[in-house]
Amino acid sequence: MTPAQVPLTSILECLQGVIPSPFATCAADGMPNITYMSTVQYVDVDRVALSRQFFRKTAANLEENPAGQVLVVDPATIEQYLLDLRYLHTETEGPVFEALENHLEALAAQTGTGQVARLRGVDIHRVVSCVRLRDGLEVVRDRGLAPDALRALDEFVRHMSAPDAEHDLVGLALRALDDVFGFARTVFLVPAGDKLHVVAARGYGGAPTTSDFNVGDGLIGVAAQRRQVVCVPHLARSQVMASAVHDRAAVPREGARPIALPTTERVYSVGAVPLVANGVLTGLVYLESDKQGAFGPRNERLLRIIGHHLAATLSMPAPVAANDPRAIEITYYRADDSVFADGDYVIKGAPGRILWKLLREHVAEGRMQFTNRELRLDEDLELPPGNDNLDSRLVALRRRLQGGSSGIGLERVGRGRLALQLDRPLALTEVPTSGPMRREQAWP
Amino acid sequence: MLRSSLSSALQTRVAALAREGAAIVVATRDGSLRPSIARAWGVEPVVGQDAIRLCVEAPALSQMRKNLRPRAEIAVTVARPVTYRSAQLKGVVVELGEPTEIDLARVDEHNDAFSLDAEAMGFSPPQAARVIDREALLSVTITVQELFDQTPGATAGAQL
Repeated sequence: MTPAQVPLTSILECLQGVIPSPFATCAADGMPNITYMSTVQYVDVDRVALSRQFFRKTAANLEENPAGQVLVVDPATIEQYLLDLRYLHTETEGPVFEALENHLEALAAQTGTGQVARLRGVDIHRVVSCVRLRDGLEVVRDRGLAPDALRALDEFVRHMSAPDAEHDLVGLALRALDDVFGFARTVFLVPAGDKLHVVAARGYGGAPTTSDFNVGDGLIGVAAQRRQVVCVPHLARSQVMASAVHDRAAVPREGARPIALPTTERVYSVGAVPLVANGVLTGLVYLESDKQGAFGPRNERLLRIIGHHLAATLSMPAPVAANDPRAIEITYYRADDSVFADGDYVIKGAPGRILWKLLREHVAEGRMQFTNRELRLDEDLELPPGNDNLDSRLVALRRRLQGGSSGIGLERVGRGRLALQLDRPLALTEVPTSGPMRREQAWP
Repeated sequence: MLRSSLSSALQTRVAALAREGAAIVVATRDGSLRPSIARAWGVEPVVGQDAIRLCVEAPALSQMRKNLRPRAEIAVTVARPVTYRSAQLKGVVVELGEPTEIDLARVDEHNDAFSLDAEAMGFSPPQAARVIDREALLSVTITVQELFDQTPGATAGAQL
C-alpha cells in the first residue's frame, strides 16, 4: 500500500530545527551520503529550505544530482515523516535566508557559537513527496490542540482596548498575554542606547534574575537588533546541537559564553517579540515556558501580530484629553525644568526633568515602571557624567511628591527600580523656551 | 585506511556510540539515484572483518526494501541525540536476511540505550519506545569502505 501524502502545512512542528534531521543525497557514482541538518524550514506548500552550513559533500552531491530525502520528526509526538526533495537553488539573501539566519543567529548568540554556525546559504528544495512513517499508527500527543488563534487574538485586542483604569498598559499587556494565550512567564523590556532594560515582568514570583541585555547579544539582543520575532521551541535540544558544533570548532572559549536568559527556572521554550512602531524599536516582549514547543512555527506569526499590535497601542498617546475634568494637569517649563501639577509647583531642575520624563513616557507608552539605569543613561536628562547624584535626586523627588497633593507618587519597587503611582489620568503641557535660563539651570 | 585500523575504529567509534544510545540512520538509493532513508538498530562489527551487521527498518514494499540488495551502496550514520557526536560509514551490502534471535537481542539493548538518551532530551518513555518499527526489521551485513567523523561542525566529513 502506498502511504498517503501528508500536506506540509500539517507538519510545521517538524520544520523549525528542533530535532536535527538526517538528509540523504547521492553522488553521481551511486554512493549515498547522510548529513544532519540543523534546520528544515517551511517555505510554502511545496517547498522547504535547508540550511547550508558545513556540508561540503551534500553540496557537491546536489550539484551532480538534485534528488534528496530528509527524515523529520515532530518534537511533540515523535512521529516521523519522510520528504522526497528536489534541489532547486541556493539563496544567500532574501526573506527565506533572513528568517533562517535570524533563527540560527539568535541561537548561536545565545550559546556563544556565533563565529561557528554562520549560515552560508539556504538550499531551496521542492517537496516531491511527504509521507508519514508507519502510516496508520495512532498519534500520541503530549500537548493539547492549539486554541483558535483568531478568536484569541480578538480577545487580546479587546483586552488592550478596554479602559485602562490602572494606567499601566504594559502590565495590562502582560496580563492579557497570560489570560488569553496562557503565556504565563513574560518580561517587558525597553531599549536605552545599546541596551535593553527590564521594566516589567509577570509570572516569576519576583524580579527576573537578569535585568539588562546588550542589543545584539543572545536571543533577546538579536531579536531586538534584527527587529524579528525569534522562537526556540525546544531550547535544550537546540543548545545541545549548538554545543556539538561549538566543541568541534576552533573558537576561543571567551567567545563562546552562553548569554543569560531572564530566568534560571526550568525553561524549555522561549520567544522574543520586538515591538516596532514607525520603524523604531520601542520595546520587546520576552516569553518563556516550561513546556516543550510552546513557542515555535505554529505561533510565530501570532506573536508577530501581537508585537505589531502592542507596539501600535503603546505608541499611541494615552486617551486622556487636556480638557478631561478627571485629569491631573501637568505643566512643564523647559526654561528651568519646573513641573506644576494642577497649577501647583512640584519641583524643578534635574528632578523636574526626571519627573517630566517619567510622566511623558507614561502617557506615550503606558509605562508605570522604570529603572535607575535607564535614567542614568538617558542623555536627555543631562545628568553630569561620572557624578550624577541620581539617587539623591530621586530621593528628593520622591519626598516632594510624598509631601504634596499632586496625585502623583513615586515608589521604589525593587533594587534600582521605580514605579509611578497616579490617582488620576494625566494631561501634559510642555512650555518651550529659547531664552538663556535653560543652560544656567541645567545642572542644579 | 589500513584494514586493522578500520576494524578498530568500527569498534571504538561506531559500536561504542551505539552502545551509548546513538540513533542509527541508513541511506540507500534506487536506480535513478534517488536516496532513501531508514532507521536501523543493533549495530555490531563483524569479528575479523571490515564489516558491520545491523537491523534496518525496511517494511515490505517500501523503497528501502527494494533498494537493499547484495552489492548495493549504503551509508550509515551513528549519532547520539544528546551530544550529536556522530560517525558515518560507507560501504556495500554483502548479506541480507531475517533478524536472528541474537540480532533482536542486540536491537533491544540498543533501543533501551536510545530510549534513555531520548528521555534525557525530554521525550517520554512511551514516545521513545515508538521510534522503532520491529515488524519491519531486516538484518543487513555491510562491508565498510570508508569511515568519517560526522559530528556537526567545521570538521564534519573528515575521514577517521
